[in-house]
Amino acid sequence: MAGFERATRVVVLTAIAGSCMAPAAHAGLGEGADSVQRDQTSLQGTLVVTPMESYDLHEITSANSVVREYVSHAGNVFAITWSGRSGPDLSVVLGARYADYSKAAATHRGSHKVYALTTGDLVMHVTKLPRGIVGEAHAPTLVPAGVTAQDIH
Amino acid sequence: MRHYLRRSAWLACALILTACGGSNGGASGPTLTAIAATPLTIPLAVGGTQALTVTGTYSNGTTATLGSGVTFGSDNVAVATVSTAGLVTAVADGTAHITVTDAGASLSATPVTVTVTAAASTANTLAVVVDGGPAALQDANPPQPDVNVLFATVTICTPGSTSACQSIDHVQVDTGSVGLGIMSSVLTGVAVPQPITVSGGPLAECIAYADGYTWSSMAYVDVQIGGRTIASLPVNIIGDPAAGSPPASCTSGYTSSQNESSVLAFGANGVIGVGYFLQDCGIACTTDPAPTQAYYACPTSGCVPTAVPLSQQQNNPVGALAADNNGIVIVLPAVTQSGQTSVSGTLYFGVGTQANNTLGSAQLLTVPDSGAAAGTLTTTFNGSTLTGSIIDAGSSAYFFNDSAIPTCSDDTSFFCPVTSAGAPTTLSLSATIQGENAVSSPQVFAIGNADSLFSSATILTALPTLGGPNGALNGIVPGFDWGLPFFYGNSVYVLFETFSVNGTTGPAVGF
Repeated sequence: MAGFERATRVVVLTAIAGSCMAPAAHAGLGEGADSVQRDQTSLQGTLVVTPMESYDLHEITSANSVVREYVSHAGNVFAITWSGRSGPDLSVVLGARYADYSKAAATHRGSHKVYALTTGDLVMHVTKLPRGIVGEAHAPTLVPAGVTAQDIH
Repeated sequence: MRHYLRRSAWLACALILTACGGSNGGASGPTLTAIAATPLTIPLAVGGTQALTVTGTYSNGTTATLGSGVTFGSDNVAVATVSTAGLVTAVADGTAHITVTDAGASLSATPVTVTVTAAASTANTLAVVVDGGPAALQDANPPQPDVNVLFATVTICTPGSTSACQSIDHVQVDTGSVGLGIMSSVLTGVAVPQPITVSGGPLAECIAYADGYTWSSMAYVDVQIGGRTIASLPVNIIGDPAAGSPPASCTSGYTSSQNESSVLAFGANGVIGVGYFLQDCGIACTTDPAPTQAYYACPTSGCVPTAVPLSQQQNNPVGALAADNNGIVIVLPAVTQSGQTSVSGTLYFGVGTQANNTLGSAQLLTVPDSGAAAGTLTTTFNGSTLTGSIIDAGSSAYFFNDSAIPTCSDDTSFFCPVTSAGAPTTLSLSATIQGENAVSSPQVFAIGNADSLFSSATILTALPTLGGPNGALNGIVPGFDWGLPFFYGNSVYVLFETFSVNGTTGPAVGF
């Protein structure tokens, strides 16, 4: 929603694209804001931070994907979305909630194209498109008051 | 038309009444010293014909086309016959040799070789079926029958061979992907196909799905589908032990149970992707830096992402046909709302190339051809505009976000709508699908209670009202996935990239 775009300050942090490592150093869901910027030199891409009304949007653009991390003013990553040729390492971006994910994944049935998961404090959706993959994960208990589903995009 | 008059020789006879055309003309005129028939090799389809031309060479160095006096014979009349005038007719598959002699001069030409093949096929149909899937799934304990998965039978041959072939049943038909993959474990009837190697080493591919991944070697195989043959198609040999273990960048974040490189884990003996594109990755995989979770070169030191030319990527099998290669049509009958045990239909090769694949009243909706949005449409549903929507025979249900419909208590992958009294019910819903070219199409569909559908006494594998959630945040996954239920009672066209029909250029989908 346009009303939330209080983009008074946009911080652009260009990563040092050197190693051939995958961009594995994302923040984890439920972890602190500092986790977004940690190990920044290993990110193959660009980090743009856009302050919003109720959270800061951290957008990491690499060769293969765009990963957006939503950080509440309380300092927690409460949602992550991704889009691109390939997806991020879920064991990193899901943080401590990866255990819930891996447990649920073991019994998943359904389609290879859509994965919808609601378990514990984790809601996650992944869709395989013809030439890409898109996904989102959020921790309902960490979503700041006043932030609605429509704000996350 | 060719004529077999020995014109020059007859002229000579008319002037000099001697032993013209005989074995020796003596000093009275030039004598015939050699004869030759053309063409020397004749490939023919059954029923085809080819006239032979016989040329004589004379002692004075002149040449002339010969006619009467030349006799023809076939050493294998079951394969090819030849008329007294030298017209060859193909009878059946095989090889025959045509002898050509000039009795008067006692000369023989080098025999003509005739190779006859079956008549060029114009058949453009592939039978497709929705059922419980490969035998391995029925035999599992407990059985794991597939639901809403479309299958075809594909024949795989060792490259260059027409006899070292194996018919593979239950290969999943997918319009949401491109390329042919066969489970390594079911390839028991043919020698290992020809591996593809790039400069960095043997080529392998990682494919990331929403719920897991597959790891495959890449190989060339000859493929037969619906009576058509494709030579040297680059394909996935899924779970090939020769590909070794997948690299960390392919598997990172997945649990071991999410390796779907087997019949049981994938639910099919392979997958035949006949989606919008001619290659699965396309131009994005031809340049460095190569994407991760795509192609890898695998020297003994380990697999590293690699760029791959289009010709060595997984190629669309229908796009690789010699004709009827601009797209497909999938036609499935309507399915009883409560479900059926199986459904049979037809996949046609080509769009508007034959009488059986014309567009008719269908509209073509175009889709982007690159980037993560490639192959996506826009769906308007419940007042929301949902970009990132797909028409996908490889999805087992209608997947969309509707917070008003509860998911099933035991399986949040599917919807379980109930009445206010709590009884299972079926909802009638509507939406509009729009292409990049602004062509739009209103749709009506039904969503039933998955628990009720799954609890049928008989195993129902075709469930036209199966639905499930996708994208609760209305965020980056806002799409509407029109899965296989959309195809029941419908004719769905896929027009491949670069091809045009009725003024619309693909990639496009029609219905």
